[in-house]
Amino acid sequence: MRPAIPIMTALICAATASLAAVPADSVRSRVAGYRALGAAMKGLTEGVRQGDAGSPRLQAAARDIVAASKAQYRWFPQGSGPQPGVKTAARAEIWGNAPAFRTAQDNFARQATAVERAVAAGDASALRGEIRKLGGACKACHDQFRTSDD
Amino acid sequence: MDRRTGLQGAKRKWACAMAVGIALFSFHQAGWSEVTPAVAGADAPVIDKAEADGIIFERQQVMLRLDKDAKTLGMIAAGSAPASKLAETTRSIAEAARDSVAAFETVAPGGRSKPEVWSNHPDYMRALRDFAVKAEAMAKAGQGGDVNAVTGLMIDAMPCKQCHDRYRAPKTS
Repeated sequence: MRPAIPIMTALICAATASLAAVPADSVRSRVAGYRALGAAMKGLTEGVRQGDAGSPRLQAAARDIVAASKAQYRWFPQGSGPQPGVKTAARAEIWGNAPAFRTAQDNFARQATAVERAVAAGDASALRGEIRKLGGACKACHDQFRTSDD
Repeated sequence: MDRRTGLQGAKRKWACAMAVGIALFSFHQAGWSEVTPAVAGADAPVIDKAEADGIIFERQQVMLRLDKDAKTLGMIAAGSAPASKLAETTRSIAEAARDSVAAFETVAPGGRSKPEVWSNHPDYMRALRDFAVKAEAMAKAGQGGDVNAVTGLMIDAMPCKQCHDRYRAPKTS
């Protein structure tokens, strides 16, 4: 599992850089944020598969995920969507249907908190279920607001 | 190395790169579809949709990672990406192969999995486990940076197309 400090640094950098006005910078910062989030998710999933349920490493991963779920609200400033010269997987619907996107973000944030609570409780079975639901929240958002990778 | 051996090596690399390319082409002909009805095993645990979506999402992420790594490996074999990436790439493939076994263990029809994934689940899981074992062997060969050794293993270690032809549904949009 990757250490928490680089992930936190990436999230802070992502949050700070997202304030920049240049669309390419905003895209880079959110990509960095999502990579850090992916690393935390991977660490969490691997830990649970190895029988871990509430270790400090899992707690750190859960904290990183919650931090990302809060930071993500700043990762999509106006003007950072698809446009000539900017490579992004973000769909225009993020800004065109902002309430729906906000709902998807809220679902993710709520589920991230549920995962953190399950880690604190140390119940492996409950945690596995909450992690899957968190993945479901990711999928719901990707299906609607992210262009297909393949 | 004499000229003939060099040419044979180059042909072999080219053939391997082509095979990876064909596999990737097949991989890219389709995208993830909506939930597919499938026959689940009688003893399969019941999971709700939110959890099933999370499992499907994880599978998709694992396959995307494999796709990216397979592309990089194909480029390394063809000489268009540096051999210094070999160890990292083969290790990543081995980890993703191992993750794919875990990701498909729970019966959760959906994504682009064909009904056959679930009706032939033991056979499918055997194929995935075989993939994980061979990818691990390839990663061990890759740790030494020997491109030829990895090239010799990768077609057998990465039977992407065989598995996709049988178990993955075509893209719907």
